[in-house]
Amino acid sequence: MPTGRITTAPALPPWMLLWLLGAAFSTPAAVQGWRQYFLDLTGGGAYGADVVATPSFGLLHLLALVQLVPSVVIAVGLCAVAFPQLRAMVVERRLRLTEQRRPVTAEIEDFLREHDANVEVRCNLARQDRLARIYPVGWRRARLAIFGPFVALWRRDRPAAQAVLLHEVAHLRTGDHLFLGLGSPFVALVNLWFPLLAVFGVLPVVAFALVKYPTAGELPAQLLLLLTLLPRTLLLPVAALWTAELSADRYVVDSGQGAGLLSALGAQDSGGNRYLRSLAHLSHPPRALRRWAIRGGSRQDVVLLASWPLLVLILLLVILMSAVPAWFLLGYSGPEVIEAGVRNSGAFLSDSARIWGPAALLLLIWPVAARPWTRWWAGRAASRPSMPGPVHASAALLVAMVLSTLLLLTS
Amino acid sequence: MNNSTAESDVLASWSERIAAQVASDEIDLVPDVLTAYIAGGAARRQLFSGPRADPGAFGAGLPLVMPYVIDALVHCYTVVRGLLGDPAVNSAIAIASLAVALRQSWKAESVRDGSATGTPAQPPQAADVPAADSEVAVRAADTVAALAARLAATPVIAGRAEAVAGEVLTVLATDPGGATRFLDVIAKSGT
Repeated sequence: MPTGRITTAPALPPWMLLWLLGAAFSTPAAVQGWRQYFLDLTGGGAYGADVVATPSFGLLHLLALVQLVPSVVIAVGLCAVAFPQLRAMVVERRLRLTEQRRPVTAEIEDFLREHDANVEVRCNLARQDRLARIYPVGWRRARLAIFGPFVALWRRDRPAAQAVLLHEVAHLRTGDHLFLGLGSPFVALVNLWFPLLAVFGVLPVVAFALVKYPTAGELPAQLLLLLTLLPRTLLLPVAALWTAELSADRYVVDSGQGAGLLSALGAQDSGGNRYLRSLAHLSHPPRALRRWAIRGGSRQDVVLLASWPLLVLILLLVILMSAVPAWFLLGYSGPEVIEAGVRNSGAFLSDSARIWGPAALLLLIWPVAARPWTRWWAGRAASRPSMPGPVHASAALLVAMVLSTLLLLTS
Repeated sequence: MNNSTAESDVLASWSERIAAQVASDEIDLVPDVLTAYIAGGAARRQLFSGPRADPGAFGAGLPLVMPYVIDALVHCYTVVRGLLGDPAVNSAIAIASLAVALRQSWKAESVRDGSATGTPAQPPQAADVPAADSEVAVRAADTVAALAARLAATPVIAGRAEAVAGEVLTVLATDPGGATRFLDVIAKSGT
């Protein structure tokens, strides 16, 4: 039975949703770009039919398919957001999750009710590759999947297990459950795209160069662009996933389970190879960063709040790092490279204002907007975020000042 | 009570008794573990699946011990069944002797390897039972060694394989008749 206790609203705005809206906003331009790209590849564009017919050119079709993966996954992800019941059905079937009435699940459900968490529990206690994860069954409804190692943790280290539950529940309170958790196409994109790009992206380009095609001299520039494609495409969504995790950690601390959270973060991983562990970092921040983020303090909080919109600057840096050598390889002179760099930086900052502009505004109003936002998702009243109001205002000001100044300087 | 109910009662009772001794935090889930193991195929494979690319915010936690214990019992069925099913050990005195022999056996192994963990529970009426019969002791030691060899292959138990093997057999030795029925059921479905 709900206790009616008031919990705090999330400290960080829903950046994942903002990124997705930005991606949706740029869809028409992306579709136009893809159309031109496929015309080029099929002989209806920049290359003649004789060039397109060569076997080495055919390899580039693989590259085109790989580059299409993010767009496809974003489209699938949007469908998953639109039809969460479908995602739940797939998740429950694939992971053999069922409703179970037994003492340990009753204890877990009691704890969730005490914390006013409106989630149902589903179990597969024979599975041992996860602890507990949330997944949506509706836009504002979620279930919590419990696996064998979590029940063992529940018996062995109760505060740590409770912190894990509260962290998962926190995702529902921000609407993040629609984007992450079990069966998330966005997390799948982050995890799958790197090997896909390496095998079907880099290899065709290298093979293309090895057959000494007449235009192969342009390939080093192409390869540079390709190698930075991953950070260029994934930086903002990965950072949005990270901030959602950091926000969930803050909720655990605000709920008085900070010690349990530290214990859960301090537990040893059950192994897995180094590659799998590094992939896990793509969707979840490193534990050292998580410990830093929950420590609190005004300066840390401002950095935490402003970091996601300010990542636009890192994105700009990555783009320039790939573009500048490419321009030199294409025969640009030094002054021409500087001129192109400044011009393109201005265009990028102006284009990305659709992300950082609303982000700064959202930061400013978040102390007020967070309460109705949480009430909408959780169906329960919440108090203001635990961070003081001026912290959000400072972060908003920092983002707006830094990025608009740079925009003015480069326009 | 029909056969399948009786069978599942035997399974639940023994698996919980073993879990209470070697992995007490897994008592709640050991019936699920056993059911999945016996089902075989994908259900059994998930018991031994390592962490995936996206285990979640807190990793996959510590691996479970009981799947490996059940797997070791099935793998060493002939040896363990041979010891417990021997009419020579199926008497009150022999059971007590066996329990002592098992204790001595796995404690000696653990001390030699420096892998003893914690203070094991004392066997029932340890002070009142006669010294372990030498033949029983040798066979008990061999059985512990066989079970431990299988358990040592799994990282989660590797450092305390002898201790876990000894504790498992000590539990089974409290009722060799019932334990052989348990072993027959899991071996029949689990191979």
